[in-house]
Amino acid sequence: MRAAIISAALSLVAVTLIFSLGGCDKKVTDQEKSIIASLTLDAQERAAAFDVAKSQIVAATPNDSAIVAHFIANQSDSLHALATGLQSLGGALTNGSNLSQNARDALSQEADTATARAADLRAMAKYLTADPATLTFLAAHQAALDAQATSLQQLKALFVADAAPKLKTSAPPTCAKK
Amino acid sequence: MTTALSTSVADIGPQIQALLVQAAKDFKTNNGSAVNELGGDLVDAIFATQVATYFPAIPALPADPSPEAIVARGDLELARTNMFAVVAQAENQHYATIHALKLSAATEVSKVATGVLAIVGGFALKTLATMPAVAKLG
Repeated sequence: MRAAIISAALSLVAVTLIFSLGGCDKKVTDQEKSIIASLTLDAQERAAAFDVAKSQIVAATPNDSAIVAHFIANQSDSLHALATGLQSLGGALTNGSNLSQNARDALSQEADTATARAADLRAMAKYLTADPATLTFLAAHQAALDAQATSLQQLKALFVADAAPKLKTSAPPTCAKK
Repeated sequence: MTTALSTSVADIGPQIQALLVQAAKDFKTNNGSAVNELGGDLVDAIFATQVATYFPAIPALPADPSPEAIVARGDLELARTNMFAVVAQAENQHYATIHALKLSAATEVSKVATGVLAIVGGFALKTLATMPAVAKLG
């Protein structure tokens, strides 16, 4: 009898510990979730659209084709990696409402990376092509990259606001960042 | 610089993926400790070590940059975005693992509840059996 009660108590303790896993992570707000979901769809669409156009951009570029090909390949790979990363975060949020500080930091860094990527395309544009159809695509693509960077920066600002210490806290933080 | 960065990304990506796969395998045999490793120490190590060491801040773009300078910056940006994707994948794995554990824990809760009910029921029957009125019926 005593063994059964002790066993039951230990099981309850173990179950409680399991349910508390991930408790150091921070809850993602509805607004943040909505931005991540929207960014994921946009990033997937952007990567697919660029896949279709990239060979045309390289072909339409008269000079420095090796460097342009390298640049275009980088842009394409980055767009796919961003889409994959955002999709993974979306997957994490289907199993909970939290994200770790690491994921928040990585996403915040990605905001700066995306901003730099959009600036790179703007700076590279004059080396790319004079073909009107390709230029039209690049203008639309540039606008999409700028919008993507803006959304990521908005997310970063929300994460920074989440991390800021609140004035009315009843207990000290127990999950300080390493 | 361009070549070095490209090489480091190519080398580091699969290593990190292999670490994550190994951690996931370890989880199957070690449960709790591997979960903590996957969600905490491993991701911390990836993020702190790899990002900080191999992927420094993106340099400022000159006013009139050459294509080579833009491409070199692009290499760094790609490396950082790849790292973001890896961290995000680890995050997804972490929460999938916790979700699976919680489902398993819910099953344990129901087993424990059944056990507790059985014990309480046993006590109740035993107590009833000792009552004079019930004993008389027996």
